[in-house]
Amino acid sequence: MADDDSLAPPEAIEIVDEAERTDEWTDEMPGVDRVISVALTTEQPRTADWIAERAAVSPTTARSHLERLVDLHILSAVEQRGAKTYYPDAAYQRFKEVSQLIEEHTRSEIETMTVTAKEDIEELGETYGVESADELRKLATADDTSSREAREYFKKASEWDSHSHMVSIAEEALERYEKFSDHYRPSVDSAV
Amino acid sequence: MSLGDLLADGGSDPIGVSGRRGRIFEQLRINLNHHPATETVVVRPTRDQRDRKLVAHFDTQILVDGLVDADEARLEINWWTHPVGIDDQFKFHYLESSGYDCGWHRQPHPAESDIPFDHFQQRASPESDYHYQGVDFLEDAPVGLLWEVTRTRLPRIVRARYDPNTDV
Repeated sequence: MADDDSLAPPEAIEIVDEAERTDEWTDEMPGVDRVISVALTTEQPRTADWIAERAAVSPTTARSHLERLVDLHILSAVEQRGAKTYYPDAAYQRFKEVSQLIEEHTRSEIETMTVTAKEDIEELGETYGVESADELRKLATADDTSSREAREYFKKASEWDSHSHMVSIAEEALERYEKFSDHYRPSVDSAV
Repeated sequence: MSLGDLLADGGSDPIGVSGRRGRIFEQLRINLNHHPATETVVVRPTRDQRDRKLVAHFDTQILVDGLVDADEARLEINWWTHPVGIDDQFKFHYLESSGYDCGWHRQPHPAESDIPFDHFQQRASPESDYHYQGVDFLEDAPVGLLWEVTRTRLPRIVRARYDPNTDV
């Protein structure tokens, strides 16, 4: 078979009729999970209507799920230009990530992850001659930067953010390990 | 807390929007686990070892009605968050043990400037050159795009390649 015979034809790639889009994820994921998935991945606080459309639920259903998620501190809500908007609750997200790290990794693994993330940050800094992800994003928007270069800088800044985030979560996890071990370790005095 | 803080993309900003990339990975993983053909979803290092990607292995007996004539099929996903107002970059890349691979990407080609940022690319084997075609994505939320790729776009590709009676 010639190579090209096993490729998909152009008409299979282009979706001309939007009606062809399937809403099949509604079969696989319950509405509340779809609302969580959309609400936890937004780039800025969003209204219930905005989230409802992307989660394939009615605005009323979205609002009711979102309010429940605010009650559970999974989301926070803020008024923006007269509309109520929702975004991931920082304290909850952080607590969850630190807890997950402790549950899934030993102390020495977390230490290694911290070191690796710091090395990755150093290497990015050296490669691009900058000291922070924000500085890299500034380079991206500089006048003499091509759109292709800008995309590369934004991408690397995003990777940088992930490494920084890992360092900050890991350091908190290590602190928590510290506290737990202090708490559970019998003191020398009490052992006498 | 100012709105400027809320809208920030990166760094250790006070409300933790900096963890967005991690949350996207997590939600994509959860959603992939709900896909009927998914066997496993793991996080793997990227080729340069400096980043990570999600890899979902599919049961080819279940994926697109078992039409795929290959023992193994997997979807690799990466996502790079960008500041508000600038589209994130992403890659949804499908690979078969037949040697065929294809992907829906929103990112610039490193060398070819006439390939649109939003494009589909495919090749018959790792030895072949990629063929490119621009695409218009229907969804904009990360999980919406995941389902668009796995339930609408990938089945069209698989049917067109394996089912001669298909009408695309």
